[in-house]
Amino acid sequence: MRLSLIAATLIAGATLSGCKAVDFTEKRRLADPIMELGDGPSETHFQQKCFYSREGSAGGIGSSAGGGCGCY
Amino acid sequence: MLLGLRVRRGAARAGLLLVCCWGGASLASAQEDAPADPAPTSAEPGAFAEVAGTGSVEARIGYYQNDDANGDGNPFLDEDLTVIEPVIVVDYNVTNRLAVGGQFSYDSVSSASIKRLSNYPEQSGASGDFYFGGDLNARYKLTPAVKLGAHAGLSTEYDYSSFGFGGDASFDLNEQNTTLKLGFNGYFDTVKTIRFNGTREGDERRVSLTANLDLYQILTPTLHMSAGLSLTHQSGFLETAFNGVVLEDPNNPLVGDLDPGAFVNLTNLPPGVAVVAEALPDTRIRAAVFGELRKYLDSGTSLSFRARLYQDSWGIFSVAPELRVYQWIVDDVFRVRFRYRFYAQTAAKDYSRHFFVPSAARPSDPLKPGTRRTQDSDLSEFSSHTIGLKLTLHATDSVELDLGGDYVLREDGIDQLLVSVGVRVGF
Repeated sequence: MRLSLIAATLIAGATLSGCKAVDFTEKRRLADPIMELGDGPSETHFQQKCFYSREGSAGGIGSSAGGGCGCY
Repeated sequence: MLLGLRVRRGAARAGLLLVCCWGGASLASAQEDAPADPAPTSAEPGAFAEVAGTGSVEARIGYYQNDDANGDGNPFLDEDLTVIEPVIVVDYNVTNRLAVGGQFSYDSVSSASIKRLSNYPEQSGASGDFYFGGDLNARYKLTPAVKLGAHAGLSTEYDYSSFGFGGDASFDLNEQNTTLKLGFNGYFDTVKTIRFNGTREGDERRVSLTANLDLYQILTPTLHMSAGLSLTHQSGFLETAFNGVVLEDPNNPLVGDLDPGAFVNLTNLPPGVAVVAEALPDTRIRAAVFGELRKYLDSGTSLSFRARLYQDSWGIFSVAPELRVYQWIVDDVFRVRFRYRFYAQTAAKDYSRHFFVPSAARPSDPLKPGTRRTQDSDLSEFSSHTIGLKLTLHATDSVELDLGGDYVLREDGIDQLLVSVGVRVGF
């Protein structure tokens, strides 16, 4: 599928691009709470459920489109 | 403007203590000026703390509501809905290599679809719905660079139950600047097919299998990203059991504003109208690619750009770009998050707002319609705009409270409100 190909290319490209490693001592900013990627688990759960239930698509919020009928 | 609001922690702490009424002593004792130690980041929130005996408890109550006052969305159905959902998430580091956790949630649901079904005595539990879900997980650090995870869970509703499990493996590469994660999930669901007219048929099965590939990458000392791919194969009963489809007579179409209430009494439908069950394919393949790029600015601000592209075999294609701004108002104590999300999707191939079918061509059994049809507004073409605000208070080093709200302005009128309040306690 087109999306799979695009994603695989992007991920492979980013991984193999040989990004210069950022030293451990330079990661302080990345550890700031405002830099934490994603949301906390309980917020992710709530958002995932609400959005997946009312949209025809799923994925990208949390790990996967999972169980539950999602059919309010 | 945001930068102008930002104040130093020391100057604002006393005022904040007065404004916020939770534990002045604990707040004062925390958040001392020691700079944050350099720390590795992870693609996975809540990853290993690596200290045996530590952990966290997170609790949240969410409120979701959407109106349908004007027959928005599907013109034949009331779609108003309210959900109240408490969630509890527990994480505990058993050793410096093994962490275990659990997630438990309960939904109290009040919806038009439930009220509609309550017209029929065959429908048990139709005056309200509940959902309970629990999921247990364990994560193990095999080597400093390799982590394994597994989870299993159950959920149940009055007409639905689900068993799910999954696993993942993540690999730290490039001096912990890159993390690759491979995962899978399987959900095995049982649906009690209670139809739009209250008829109870046998149980049906649904299987959802998902494979995930995630990448986390540090790009610079102030810029990192994540990207992922999710592929899902679903099979079995994929309809919403209680969804009906209104068939109209091509010679006598329904016109004007429709009252969804006119379609509740199936023995007194408008002339030329019949209602049949929704019918959709028995398989669905779904693919999503998504990612986030986050940049730290020296002003205590971070900017985030997220996006997702989605395509499935039912014909739905969607895009969901999102912009976020995170801002410390009081350094290390109080922060805000603004978000804007745009969402647009195309309609499923089998969706239509109206189906014109002559009486002679209609199925003899309305519950076995044969032809694939749906009027589910969530499978229609629409776009939406979401704006949100979240406030987070780090009351102490180990206690964090947040309050957030999102409003979804949907093109077809089914606007949504999401509000949640959460607390996270580390120990």
